Amino acid sequence: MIDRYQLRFSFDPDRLQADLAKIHPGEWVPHFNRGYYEGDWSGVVLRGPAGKTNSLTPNGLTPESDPEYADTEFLDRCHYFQQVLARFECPLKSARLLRLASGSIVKEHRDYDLGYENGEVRIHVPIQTNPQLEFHLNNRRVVMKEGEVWYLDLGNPHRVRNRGSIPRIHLVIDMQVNDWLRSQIPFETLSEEEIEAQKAPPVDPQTSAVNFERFRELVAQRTDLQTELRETTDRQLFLSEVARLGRQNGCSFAVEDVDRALQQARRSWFERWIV
Amino acid sequence: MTDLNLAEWIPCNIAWDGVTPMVEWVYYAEPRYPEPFFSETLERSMQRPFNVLFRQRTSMETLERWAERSPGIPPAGFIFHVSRCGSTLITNLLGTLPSVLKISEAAPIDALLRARMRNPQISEAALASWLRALVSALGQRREEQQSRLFIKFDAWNTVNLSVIKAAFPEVPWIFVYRDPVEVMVSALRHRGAHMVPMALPPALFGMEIMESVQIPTEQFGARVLKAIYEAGLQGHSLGKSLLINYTELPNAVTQQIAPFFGCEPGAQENEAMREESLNDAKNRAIFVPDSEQKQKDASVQVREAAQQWVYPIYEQLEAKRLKLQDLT
Repeated sequence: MIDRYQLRFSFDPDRLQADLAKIHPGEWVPHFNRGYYEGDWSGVVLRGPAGKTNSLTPNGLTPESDPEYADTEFLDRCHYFQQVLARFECPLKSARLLRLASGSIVKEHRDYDLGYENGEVRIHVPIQTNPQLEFHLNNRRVVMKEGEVWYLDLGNPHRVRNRGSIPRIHLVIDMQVNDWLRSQIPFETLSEEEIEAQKAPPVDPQTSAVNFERFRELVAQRTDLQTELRETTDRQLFLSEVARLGRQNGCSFAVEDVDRALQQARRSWFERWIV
Repeated sequence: MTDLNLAEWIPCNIAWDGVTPMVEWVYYAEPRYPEPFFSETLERSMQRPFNVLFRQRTSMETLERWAERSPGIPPAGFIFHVSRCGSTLITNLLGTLPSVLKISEAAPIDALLRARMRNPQISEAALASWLRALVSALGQRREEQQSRLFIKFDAWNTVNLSVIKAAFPEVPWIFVYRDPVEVMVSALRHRGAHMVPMALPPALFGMEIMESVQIPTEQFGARVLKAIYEAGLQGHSLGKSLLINYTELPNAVTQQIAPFFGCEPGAQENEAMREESLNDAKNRAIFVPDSEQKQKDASVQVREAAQQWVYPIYEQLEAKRLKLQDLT
């Protein structure tokens, strides 16, 4: 299924930024998940679990608890943000401003509680961003511009690196899927990569193994392939990315071959002392 | 490999193809090796599947060609030591200087130093050339301001001092040591490879295999240390070296070691080193002198073994060090 989709409506970047200016510097709080990032990742809760003022956790305290959601004083101040939220004709859960400072990174991770299958999805609206902001979802870059509205399936591995000189600030809204949202986002469409993988003819095991070794040689030569593969820390994603790039470079092989080679490479690394 | 491009790749292992050593390379693009030990930097890199799967393997000749094509920072100083004596602290402090790239106990260097035990056909000249090329590849300039490379060797590499001197005759070095009882108490508690019988070839320390596994641990440890202290003492007579006792730390870093290696840290840099020595607990380099406790913890066996094997050499080192200090 698609992991990203730009909705057909957008918002006014100037008005978004005007509301942003109503939040004072001291009102941003650091993101709760400190293991996930390096640098400064902080936020402001516009709407969240009732009674938890400006706690950045988008959910209740336990996965089972389904709290009541309520707007906060911050949203009261920001009339355009109110209009933005009202544009979504589906039940809204949390709405947060998330700020990633210049030079900071969010490490690759998956947000397991989100997903179309679970009936809850996340929408990103960039308010302030820059061309050196790198958002990678499934190891492929998503370029999102100010005012645009993006559905991202963040149950998949994603990472962010702000190489620019200004902070990146997104409005991040969690909402429940209903018929209106389904009319806006073709959730069940196959992604380009899925279509391409389905079209690829199967390879016999011997060719697959030979092709994988050819691809390994190719990677040693080509810095562009190195760059594309080396950032992901998610094992499953890495395996499928190696297979995808192999296919695109005329070396089709099975994910199983990559898996086996990775296991073998790890074993030989651990056993390098045994002579 | 047809087109030699190893920029941002570093040697991570010496692998053997029969009797032929090969170099394994891993992608690494950070400005320094921040962990106290090179092995920790590698383990961190290996958390990425790319680095595990797409390691490259080349011949020693490729390594030498790479050294010609892209020479590393020339080594400004080597650190030899007896283990458990403050050598990591010294290296970390030097590593705080912006002009310094430090490499601490890199396993590929250690492996290459012992290559002739594995294949005696390898000539001394070839080994010296490979060592220079390996140091060049590990010591690539990773940031513009880096102009000094410091290498801390494994404690047991001291017995290979002559091989290293042959490859780098011009590089000054220090030998860091400590009261043998204190080293033994610490080394037997957290054992490095040199304190585990058969983890390294016993011949390195002048022992037969059978005796190395049959003698009591304290005896084994003391004889290993004896070989290391002795190698430091003998090497010292060849010149270009400075003896440092643990008791002189941490002040010796700014007052003796940095000037000896030709660094003249400014006030700000000295302050950075002082801070590193005080509060960088995450580098496990926090310096708390603990001689008294170590002396208390020593068993009779440890004392006797140290007395029998190591103290005579320790005393000679001390005599040389103190005489040198009197002269200055």
